[in-house]
Amino acid sequence: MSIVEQIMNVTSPTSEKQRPPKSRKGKKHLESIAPQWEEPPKGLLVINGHQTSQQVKNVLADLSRLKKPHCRQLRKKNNILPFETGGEASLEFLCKKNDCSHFILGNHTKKRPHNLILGRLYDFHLLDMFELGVVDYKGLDEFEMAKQLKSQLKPLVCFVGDFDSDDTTRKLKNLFLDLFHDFEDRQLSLEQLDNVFVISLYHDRTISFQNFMIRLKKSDTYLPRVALEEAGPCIRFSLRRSRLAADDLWKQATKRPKQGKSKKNVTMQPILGRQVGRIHVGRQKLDKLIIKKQRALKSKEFE
Amino acid sequence: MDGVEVDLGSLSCADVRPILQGETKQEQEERILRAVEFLVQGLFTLPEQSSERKSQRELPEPFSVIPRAKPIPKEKPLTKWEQFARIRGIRKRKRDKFAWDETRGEFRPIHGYRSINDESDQVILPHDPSLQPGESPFDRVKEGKRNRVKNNRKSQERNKRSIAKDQLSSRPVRTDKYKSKDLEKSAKIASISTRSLGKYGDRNKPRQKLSSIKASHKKNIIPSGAERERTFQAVNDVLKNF
Repeated sequence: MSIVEQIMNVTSPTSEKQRPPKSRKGKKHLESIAPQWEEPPKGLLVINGHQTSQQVKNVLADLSRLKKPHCRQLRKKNNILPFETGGEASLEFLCKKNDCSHFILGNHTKKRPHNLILGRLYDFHLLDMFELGVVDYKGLDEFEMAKQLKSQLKPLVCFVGDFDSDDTTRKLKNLFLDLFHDFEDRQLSLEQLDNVFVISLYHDRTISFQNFMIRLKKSDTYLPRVALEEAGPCIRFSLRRSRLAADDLWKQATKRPKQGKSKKNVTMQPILGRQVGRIHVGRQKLDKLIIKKQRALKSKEFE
Repeated sequence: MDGVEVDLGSLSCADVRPILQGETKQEQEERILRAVEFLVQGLFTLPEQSSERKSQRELPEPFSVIPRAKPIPKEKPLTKWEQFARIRGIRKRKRDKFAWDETRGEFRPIHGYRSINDESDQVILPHDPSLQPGESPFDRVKEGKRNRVKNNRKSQERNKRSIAKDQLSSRPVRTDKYKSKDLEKSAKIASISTRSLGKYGDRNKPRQKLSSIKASHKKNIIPSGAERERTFQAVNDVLKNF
């Protein structure tokens, strides 16, 4: 390996040795998964654990239906225990393979029945994850309104309860917003308003997840009245174990790219390659200009 | 509104008051409705984009900080041509890849294999007076192509090397090794440089090669004691008048 390639590898952001592509197709693929300034929506990887209950399976199916099309569901069992030491390695591998930065893993054990592990990654390294136990569940199919749910719309997210009092719940709130919001396009068509995900934190630290359809109704003013109809699923979680992000990793992950503002009145001189700026000096106050007074010009007072 | 926070940029709202133990389901649904209504009405009050699409709104920047999925990409260093083009203000134009070939009656690529003006494909070549007797004009065309490819590969290598050099220079380097050599070089350049960068100099004079110049800076170096004496002398001259 030449010194150039060595340096390129050390300074590349993913810091893993990436073999240069041999085919054009491979090159295109690498370009498609390369880091970007404006990121596309994060994908959700849905994984079945070594042992799952029917309830957990249903929850995973419902969530993946809500997350469509930014979702990938693995059909086979995966014996992953992310909270055990070294358990996150295979999780990171699977997420990288599928180019997903969110994951949800469902399993069911005697100690932790109906268990969901929800988390996210930064640069395909585990950032934070939360373990949620399904206490109560009412599936999508049990709601009449669910048939009217459309995909590829912009959902709203609503939080009820005091999430900000505790670091864990604050980060969980952030994770749910990360999961369901859509930052991709800064344009919104008001017809796109279709449903709202409501996440509530109760006094006993249980969390509920609901989904409502939004109905806009006429009112006396130009602003509409809002009516909500529940569209499922309705899930009640209990908060179990959690692992929060280390401060430095969090800081690194939330760095925002500096946006180069287009500079006004600055041009490049074509030949010399210098930058030239045009500035506005403002109006000169000629009447207040201090100049040398000349005696001849002074108005004489006649006696 | 009290207790309701709205972030239009991320399409989210929050009723931050805690849910108390005795709160009924109906009370909760009212809270949800109130928060969502507040958010929806906020979205309706955003300024319209154009009169044609009245429902279109541009969302403001979100307050909520969401971590990225992948690190911010690094900017690629410019190649030598790109640097030059930026100075000259040369812009990249998109050109067609294919053009209609009238003699063959089909579309053909403009450059590369099977291209329209493929030199190696010519049957008759215009006479070149610089050809030596016995030299084949077809061989010369082939050689020209070979040289161009070679030169292009060279400049690619040079770009790679200069990028590597830039990245190396950001690391701590032992400068004392290179210092004297660099000084020597800049002294050589300075000894033949003129103030107008050669504009008003003798144009007929052939350009000197750096290796042919002998460094002349050594004789100009004054021993430190002499310089000290000279400075004191100057100061004394000035102070005498006061």
